Amino acid sequence: MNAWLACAALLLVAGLLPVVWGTARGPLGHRAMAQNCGTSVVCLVMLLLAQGYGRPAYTDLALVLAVLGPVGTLVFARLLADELGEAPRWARPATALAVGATALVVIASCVATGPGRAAVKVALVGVLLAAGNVIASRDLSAAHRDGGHG
Amino acid sequence: MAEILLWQVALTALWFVLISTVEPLEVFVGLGCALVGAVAAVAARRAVSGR
Repeated sequence: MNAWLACAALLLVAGLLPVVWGTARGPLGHRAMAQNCGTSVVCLVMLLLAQGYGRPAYTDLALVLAVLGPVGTLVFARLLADELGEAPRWARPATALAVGATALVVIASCVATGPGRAAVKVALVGVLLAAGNVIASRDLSAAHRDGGHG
Repeated sequence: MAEILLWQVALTALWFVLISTVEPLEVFVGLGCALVGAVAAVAARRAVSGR
């Protein structure tokens, strides 16, 4: 097991357990926000595994997840707008943490990959993931605020 | 027309980032897919802005 795999395992435990806990209990709005964070966790784990196992193909999974995850959250925000209730207090810190972790993992992956198209691809995944997370999180909070008109 | 060309250039660049090996066939397929995407993007923008 190398450092990448150790980080992936750590992120899987420290990131995915709170996500599962958050999606399994509490008000609906909190659950939707927790599953939004789940996208970031799994996507970053995929990027770390791609480095750890030396399989660039895993980056494709991260790319697909970075595109479809926030879209899924936007669908939740639209369809459940009437029932979302109050936004969780930890929404902003959780989003900031996810974006920070994304930056950290993506920069490390880019440095390890070296200059080239592969590094640009990893950076693209990171930008999509961070931007998607922020947009989806803001949309969820707006749906909370507007009480069904978001 | 310029808008479609701009989209095609951008989408072709994205294609080159995402493919694993660059070869002539990939270039042609990429240009074709980018053209379809460019037309769709312009059509979508016109539908949204109502023009």
